[in-house]
Amino acid sequence: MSAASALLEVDGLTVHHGQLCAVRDVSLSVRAGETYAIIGANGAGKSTLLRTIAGLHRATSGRVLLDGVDLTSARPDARLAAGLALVPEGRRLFASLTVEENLLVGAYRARKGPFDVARIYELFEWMVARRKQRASQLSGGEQQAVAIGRALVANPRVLLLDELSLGLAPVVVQRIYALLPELTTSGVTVLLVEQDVGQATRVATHVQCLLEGSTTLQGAPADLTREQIEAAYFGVAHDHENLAP
Amino acid sequence: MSWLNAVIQGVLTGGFYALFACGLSLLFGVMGIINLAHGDIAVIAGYVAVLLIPATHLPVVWSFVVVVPIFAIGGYILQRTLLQASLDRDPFTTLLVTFGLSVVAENALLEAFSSNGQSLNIGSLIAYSFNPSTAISLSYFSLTVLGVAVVVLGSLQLFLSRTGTGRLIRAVADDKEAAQLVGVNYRHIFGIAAAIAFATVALAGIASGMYTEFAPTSGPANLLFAFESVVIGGIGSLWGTLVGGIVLGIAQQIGAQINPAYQVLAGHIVFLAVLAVRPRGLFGMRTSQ
Amino acid sequence: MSATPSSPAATARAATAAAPRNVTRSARPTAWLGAVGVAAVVVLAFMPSLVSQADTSVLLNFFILLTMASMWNLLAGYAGMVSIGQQAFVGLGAYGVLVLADSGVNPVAAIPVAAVLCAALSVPISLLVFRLRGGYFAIATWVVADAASLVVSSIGSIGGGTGKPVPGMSSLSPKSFEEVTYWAALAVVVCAVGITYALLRSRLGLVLAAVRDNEVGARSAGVRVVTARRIVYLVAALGCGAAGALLAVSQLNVQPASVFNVQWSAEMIFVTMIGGIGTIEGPILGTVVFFLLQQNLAHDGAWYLIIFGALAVAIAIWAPRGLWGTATGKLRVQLFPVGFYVGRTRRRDRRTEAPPPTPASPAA
Repeated sequence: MSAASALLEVDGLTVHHGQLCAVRDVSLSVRAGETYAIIGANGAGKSTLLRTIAGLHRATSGRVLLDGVDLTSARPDARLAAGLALVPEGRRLFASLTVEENLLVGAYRARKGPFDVARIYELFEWMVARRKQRASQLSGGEQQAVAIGRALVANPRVLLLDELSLGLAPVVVQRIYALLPELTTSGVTVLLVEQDVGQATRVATHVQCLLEGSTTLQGAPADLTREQIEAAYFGVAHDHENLAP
Repeated sequence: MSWLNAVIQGVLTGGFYALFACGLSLLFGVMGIINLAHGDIAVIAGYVAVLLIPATHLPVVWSFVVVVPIFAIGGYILQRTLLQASLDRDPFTTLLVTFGLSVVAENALLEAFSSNGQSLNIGSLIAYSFNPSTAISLSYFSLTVLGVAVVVLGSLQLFLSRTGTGRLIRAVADDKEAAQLVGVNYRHIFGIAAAIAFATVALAGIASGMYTEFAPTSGPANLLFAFESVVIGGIGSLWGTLVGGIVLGIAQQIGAQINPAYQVLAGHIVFLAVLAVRPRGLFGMRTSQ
Repeated sequence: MSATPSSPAATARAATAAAPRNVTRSARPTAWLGAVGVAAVVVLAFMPSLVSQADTSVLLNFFILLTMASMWNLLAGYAGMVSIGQQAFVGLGAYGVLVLADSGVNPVAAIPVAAVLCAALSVPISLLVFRLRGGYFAIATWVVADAASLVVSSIGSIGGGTGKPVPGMSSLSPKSFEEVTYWAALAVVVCAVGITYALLRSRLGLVLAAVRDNEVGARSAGVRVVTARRIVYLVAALGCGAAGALLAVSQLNVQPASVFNVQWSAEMIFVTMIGGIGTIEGPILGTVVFFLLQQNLAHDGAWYLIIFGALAVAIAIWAPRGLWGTATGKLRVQLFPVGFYVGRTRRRDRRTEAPPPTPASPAA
């Protein structure tokens, strides 16, 4: 994986929450067209990493580069203009705005590209009928769809997805993840954070595991065994003799 | 019949109060802060008008054409600099900063202008009124101000609900971090909201300055009445602010009918009663948290 | 002021038996500070015999403002309630003394009574104003103060809008009057600071810190948040009432425009912000700065308020911990220790601590 072909590059990122070190010298390289998944247990630092890449947190050290451009000190809205969009944990829709208005706000600084409000309605047909409804009245899964639509409408080059499955029924989660291939064919590179390892390994072309802020494993899902992933996820040293009978 | 006149005068006064209050309500809705210098801005607008009128050769009654845009720009600048700096800390700091600014402003005005009352003289225009009956007197000026208040509030409502910028303001008010993630510079939006708030309160200050006298120490009264209007009408509702202003005006005029010394107190009592019985206000949606 | 360790053997037992670490109230022994404090109060008590009448008067007003600032600091710095209406209680305290003096009570004796009356009144008032939070709470307190002022102004028997002199002190000689009022003020400020200190070291102080850090978390841990806030509001009313009562006694005249003036709030807020909010030492330092400034600018009318206000604004934004907080910085020096320190062993303990246990030595 040469650095030249990386669309999104994170280089030695360290992030602190006050005195707590949440992300410890993490690096990753996402090539165009990839679906890159970051997995790890609660508190591993995944969301903090994503939020820092999006610009909501200031990194203590390290760099974030989008297509070679250093975005490390850029504000979140500037990063969006450069082509980096985050769908935050918990959806974070504008509750008092309608579905359509949420999408329109998403298009405020949209770049040129295949996605516009009409295209989002094609992707999610049910939205057309509900577009005048307040976002707060939608179900969790519907809100997640609107949140993704709101980010897509800006035509990002890299879409950051933070814990899509949180708080949603498995059926709903699957439906949302079924979208991802379509995004990839439309030219969007995806970097997602997911607690559900199975879901992540099913959709991702590349997986990286975090534990207590540091990278414990990375590679293509096909190349990694279940035991390797488990060990990296839980941080258990694999010592077969010590396993209790 | 003088009671009916009291009610009618109260409605007319409500127009002034609503104009004072809509900026306060907007700033709170968008940024979650109360600008304790809100009333003083109106007073400063009055003094700026007094200073500028000789220079602009405009008839006094049109002075707002010059002053209001100045305050819109000034509001944007103040928001992007001082107020944003204090907001970045926390709302607590903003309260204290705006309170400090209020005290500084009042005392600076006192140093510059003395404590005597001033007014914006629009000549005989202020005196025109018509009397539907012997006991009721409707001042054209007050009616105009009420009309202006309705137009301003209505325009603001339309602006927020129908325009792109209005949509951005509502989005930022809902979740400024999420707004950033979709490319909105929320500080700029805050500046716009502040510009609108400063513009409306400057307009209110000038209108009020034409109707009665104002002095460096008039700020707090403006603030308190604006605040009471917002709470009575319901925090979070622009039209509620108009109703709240009218209710306050009526309460005050009825109090004045009983005893001129009770005017302001009557308003306070109604406010406290609303707090006790229906803290949400008449049309309140959100809590004040 | 600090928990002294028990015998060295007990400390050793504790070290070996994985008991809770050493919990103390201050980082280093501060018993000597208590002695210094008492000495300072004694020296202050002798002031009237040492300095001129004008200086005694300045000190008296210093005590009054410090009392108010301590109360505001308690409200805003520790309980998170920004009030700009404490002048309600200042005024009510002053009028409390007036009413009692008119009925024949000795004005000085009336001070605690008036203060308690203010505390009592604060309870129903809190029922109203606590319905609002943040900025709305702040303005509501101001409305209450304005309402109180208007109500009082409408009562002719206590002077209406123009005010009334306070009777009952004319039998004293000027020197005695000076001394009595001074000592009353000293007593009040010592009580104010003392009660604040005691309150913050008590369970209530811990409760307030928990609420300040995470209100929802505190509530779910069973903390009675509203009750805690109400107690603080009551104490602040008590203190400001006492300050107002002192004003009445020392100025011998009470008028609404002066005792209910929002300027009292401005002064107590600026003083606390500049000195250092959220510390007991802050208001003391701030009041000192205020008086130094006022002495030098007193003849410039509104200028000292302009300067002081601008200073307070600047400090709020750029040095929010105030002079004391910024100066003591990470050292967390506390002349009035109100926190808890866990696991700090002092030199004496280390020397007498038992060596770590070997498998042969008996566990404690």
